[in-house]
Amino acid sequence: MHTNRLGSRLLVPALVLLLLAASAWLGPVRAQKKLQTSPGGAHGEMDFPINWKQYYSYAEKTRIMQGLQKQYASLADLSTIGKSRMGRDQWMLTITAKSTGAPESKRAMWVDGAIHGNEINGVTCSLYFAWQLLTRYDYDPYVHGLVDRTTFYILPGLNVDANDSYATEPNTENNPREPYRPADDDGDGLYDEDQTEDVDGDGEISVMWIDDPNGEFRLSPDKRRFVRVTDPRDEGPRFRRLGMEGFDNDGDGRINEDDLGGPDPNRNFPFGWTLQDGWPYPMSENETRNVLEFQLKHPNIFASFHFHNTGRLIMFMAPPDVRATTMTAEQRTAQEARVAAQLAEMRKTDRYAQLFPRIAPADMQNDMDTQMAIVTEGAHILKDYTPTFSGLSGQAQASSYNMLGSFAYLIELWGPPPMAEVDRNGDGRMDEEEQQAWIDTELIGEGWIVPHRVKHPDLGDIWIGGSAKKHTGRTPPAPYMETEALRQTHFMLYAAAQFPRVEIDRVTVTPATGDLFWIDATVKNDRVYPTFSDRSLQLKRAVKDRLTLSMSPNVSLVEVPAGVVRLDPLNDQSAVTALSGMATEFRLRGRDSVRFRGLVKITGPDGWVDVRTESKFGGTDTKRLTIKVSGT
Amino acid sequence: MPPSDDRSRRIGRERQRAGRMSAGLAAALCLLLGAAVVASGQGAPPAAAKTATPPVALSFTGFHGYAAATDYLKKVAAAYPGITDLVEIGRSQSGRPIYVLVVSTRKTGVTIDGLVSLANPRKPAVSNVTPMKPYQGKPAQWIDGGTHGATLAGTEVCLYIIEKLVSGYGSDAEITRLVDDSAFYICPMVYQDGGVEAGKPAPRAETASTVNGNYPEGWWKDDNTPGGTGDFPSSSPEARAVLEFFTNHTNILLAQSFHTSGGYTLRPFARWPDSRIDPRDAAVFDRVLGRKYLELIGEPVPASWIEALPQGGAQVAPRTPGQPAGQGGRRGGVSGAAPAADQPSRRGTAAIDQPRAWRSAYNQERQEPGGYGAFADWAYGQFGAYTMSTQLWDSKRDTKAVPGDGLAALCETHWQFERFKATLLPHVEIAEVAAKLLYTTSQASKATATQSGDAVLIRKGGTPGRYKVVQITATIANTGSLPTQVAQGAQLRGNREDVIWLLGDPAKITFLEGTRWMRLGVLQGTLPLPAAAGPAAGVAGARGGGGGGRGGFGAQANQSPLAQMRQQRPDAAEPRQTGNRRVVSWLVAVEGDTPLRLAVTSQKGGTRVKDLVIQ
Repeated sequence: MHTNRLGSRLLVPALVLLLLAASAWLGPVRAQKKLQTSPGGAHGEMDFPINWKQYYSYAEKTRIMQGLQKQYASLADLSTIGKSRMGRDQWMLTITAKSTGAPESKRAMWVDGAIHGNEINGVTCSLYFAWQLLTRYDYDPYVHGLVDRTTFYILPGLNVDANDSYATEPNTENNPREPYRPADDDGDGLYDEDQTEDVDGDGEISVMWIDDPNGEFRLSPDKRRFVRVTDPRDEGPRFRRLGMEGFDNDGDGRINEDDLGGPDPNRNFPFGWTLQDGWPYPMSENETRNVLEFQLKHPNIFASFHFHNTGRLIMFMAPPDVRATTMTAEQRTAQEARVAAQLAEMRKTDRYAQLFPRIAPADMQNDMDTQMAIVTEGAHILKDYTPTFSGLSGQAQASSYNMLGSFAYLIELWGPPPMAEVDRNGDGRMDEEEQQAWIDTELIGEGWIVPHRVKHPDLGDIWIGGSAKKHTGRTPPAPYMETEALRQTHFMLYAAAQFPRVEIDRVTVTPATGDLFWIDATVKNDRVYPTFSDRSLQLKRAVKDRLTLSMSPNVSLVEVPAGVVRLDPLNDQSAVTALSGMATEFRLRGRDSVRFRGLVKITGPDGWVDVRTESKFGGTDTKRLTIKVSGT
Repeated sequence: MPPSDDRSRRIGRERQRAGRMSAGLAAALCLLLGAAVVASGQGAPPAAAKTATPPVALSFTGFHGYAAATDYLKKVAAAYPGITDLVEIGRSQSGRPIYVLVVSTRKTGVTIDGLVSLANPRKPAVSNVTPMKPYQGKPAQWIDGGTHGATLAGTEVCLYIIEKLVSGYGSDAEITRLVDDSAFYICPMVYQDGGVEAGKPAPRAETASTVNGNYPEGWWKDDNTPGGTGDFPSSSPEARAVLEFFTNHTNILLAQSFHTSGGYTLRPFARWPDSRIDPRDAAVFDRVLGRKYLELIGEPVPASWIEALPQGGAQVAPRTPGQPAGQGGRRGGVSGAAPAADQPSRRGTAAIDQPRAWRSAYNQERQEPGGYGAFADWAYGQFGAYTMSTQLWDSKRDTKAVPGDGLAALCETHWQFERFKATLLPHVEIAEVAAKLLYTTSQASKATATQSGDAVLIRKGGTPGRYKVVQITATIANTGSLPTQVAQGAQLRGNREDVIWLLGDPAKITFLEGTRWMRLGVLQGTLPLPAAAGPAAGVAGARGGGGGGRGGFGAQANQSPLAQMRQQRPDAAEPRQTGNRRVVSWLVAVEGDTPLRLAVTSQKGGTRVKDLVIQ
């Protein structure tokens, strides 16, 4: 109120004060080394330059992580969570400001990439995120505050054996996906005996074709593709598609029918596990088992992100649909129509609005609301990603949420090239010609394998080619890697910034009667995430928030009954929680506050009252009120 | 802590009695062993090294703790290298190795991976596949004890069985055949951290162990909260060691776990009602195994188990192995209600009249659901082995759990049961082979044909060579009592049908009809079981290699037009083959005198090879 009289002369300094006050929640601003004048430009990136236009082998990735840890030793630790089947360490970075506390003492975010061996875009995005956290710490107050208050466990490559193969060897888009447990995929008694091979030695695994007068394909006029024959009168050589490149290793007349590896690692987790998808047994693979065992030993993990390719999806864990088994098909159709109509209305003003036809159980509504808020903003940050519910069936994020109570996300990175770039004829799809054009233009023609003749020991004269190279479809090609990683970093930074923060808003002491006074404390969490999930409460893993009072000897708390009281019986908003003892438990949801009221007796001239809040995931806060009494 | 006076007096008396008994027992054992040594020199099947081996001493005057049991295993493995293999399958929570002693003749047995040589392997090669041991090519039986820290009698039974097998080899014809033709996987002490040492009395309470209850089948409760033990299924290192061993030794068809106490045996399921067991498996469990068990322990066998088996198909409630938490509703909703066919009877009342000593744990009179994560449920329901858990000792009927006569007699009873089960294992053999030469020439050379319009031009080239066209017909039979898989076993992921390979240099063989390997379905055994209700135990003709499974693409590239036509007209397929025999045939063109051999490989029925002689 007093500042009004000073008027606009203090406007600018006031704004500066406001900015500094806003950043006060981030902690004291350490020495900012460089004044950043280029918006969104490099903040410390040149202190540790990394080329983001390539996929790294296991050895190269390990060297990078070692280098980062060494250079940013006050912020990072490098450790292994265990070994893969073939003996490679799963290296993990633990990132937090050691000066503000040990990693286990802070709430944490878990990030892993490439549980599927071939989805190594996840390796890039995880590593990029770690790099941003470390290089920006001294330059960016936003990141500075996050790294002070939060621990980040980052495992860039999870399925390390297959990751290394995918980065360094010829592969199809789809393999090796699994850890290297041998499996008899075709039931012939042999294990992993017929794998894909690079028949023509060009470093790529493409498609094999054979001359066949009854075949359904012919060469395109530019001889770069095989296209379906549309006119049966078409003369000219015809071809039959044989399959992906490989030899008939076991002589049974089939090729590539029993490729390397066995169980899908993202069906190997215990929650929702089935034998058909998760063979042989839950947590059978070292690579996945090491992850769950680490998470079990680190209950400070509050949220986890898991990176996959492909599809541009933000898959999120949410409470189950409480009416799944009781709705009829007609009811369901009607509900979906209602939701679609409402969503269309919402999207008139916000194109990233989200609404789903799922009704959560009453005691899990807050988890649902929280996830809605987070993924809506995620859709905004990631631009062309679609939030969608995540499945169960033994997937990692299903166990993160349902067994541990962490908010969990599976991000399907990348997808077809952005429509704006590729859809020349405006039909909303990419056809084969448009794909060719995209490869020729954006990838300087380097993404294509032109059909060529090859002699095959089992099949005779064949053709190989007419397909895109690795790192065009499932994983992005070089020019797109950094944009993909940067957006994911922004999303994860946003999520981390929304981790709960329990703060004492204000404490007041007002006279009640005689030497009795009311002490009122308002505690708030103005972040999106609650101090713990509904699921963790169901699992009995939740640790309630605590408010503790301490006071000078001349101040004492008067026992009042516990419970919630309305100060104004007609006003719902005036509810306060009674402080019936020196310690009180409570719970803050996202964007929530609670008001406490206690009755204290103050005798003597001076005194003080301390209010302290402790929240497992929301941090600690204290406020001290000093009291001076004058008069009798 | 010193025991109370009263207790120490009782123990002292029992020890005296045991001491007297054990002296007699030791004498008896010596006599028996001496007799065995003498007998082994007369008319026994050849096992040269065995007869000269002095037996490894084993007495039952005290319980063997971890150290003594492990010591015994190592001594046996050293004394009988020709018929044993000591395998470490994992480590306990405290780091102690968990051992399985394999009892099987090392020189017999063949596995398919040793017979098929692979061409043009991927480079760089990944060495993730370990070669199978020869005994993995034989049907196998698992026996374990000591899953709980204080179930000491189970360990003793396992050691006794080992002793019987290794000392009977070469002298007892049946034991010798069993050890030659099948494999015993014996794990006397699954859980070793119970602090049990030899010579000390058994602890009164069961030491906490999270092993049984930590298996994946039925681990979750219906409300998606944990029901079994441990943080997650397989979290205990002991359970994981067992799970991993089974996964890598898929030739196990029979499994037995020893616990205490009560003097009865439980068959699957602990978690689910009997409606989930296929009638064919129920027949094996009750009428074959249960009947023998009850006879051995001297309890009455239900009359219906002795009557003839009903023929004809029966309804089976569908079951998804590894009942997933969170499934059941659409969109991953909360676990839905069990299907109607599954509704259990009111708890606390047995749904079916079951004998005291042979029943399913589900039918036990318990008011609350239970049986989460049981070993037998997993080994039967997800792995596909006939599995049972025996609670040794009945304190009302047997003497208390102290060493001496009572223990030895108990061991002998269960050894007889294990021996009986071993005689039931399937054995898949190539019963007959006929290789008929249809055509031979020594002027053949490679030819190509090109056609334009109505004119065909055939170009011959290359060096002429000899080749023959041969028709090969093979009859494969399962001579054992049990089928090669449990009822739905071949549908369980990780399991497969029986398969036959025609092996020879692929460059010199052209398949005109048939492919290099073909499926045989699941061969039944000689035991008459109810007819199959679900997916066929037989096969519509021996189908071409492949079909099903992921990846790969057809053998049509290599198939003759005749074979292709046959596949496209299912009504022209050969009559459905069922039962314990299959007939398969090929038509092949072979260059020169290149050798041919047949290999039939059944996951749990063994692998056999036969070289072909062309008439």
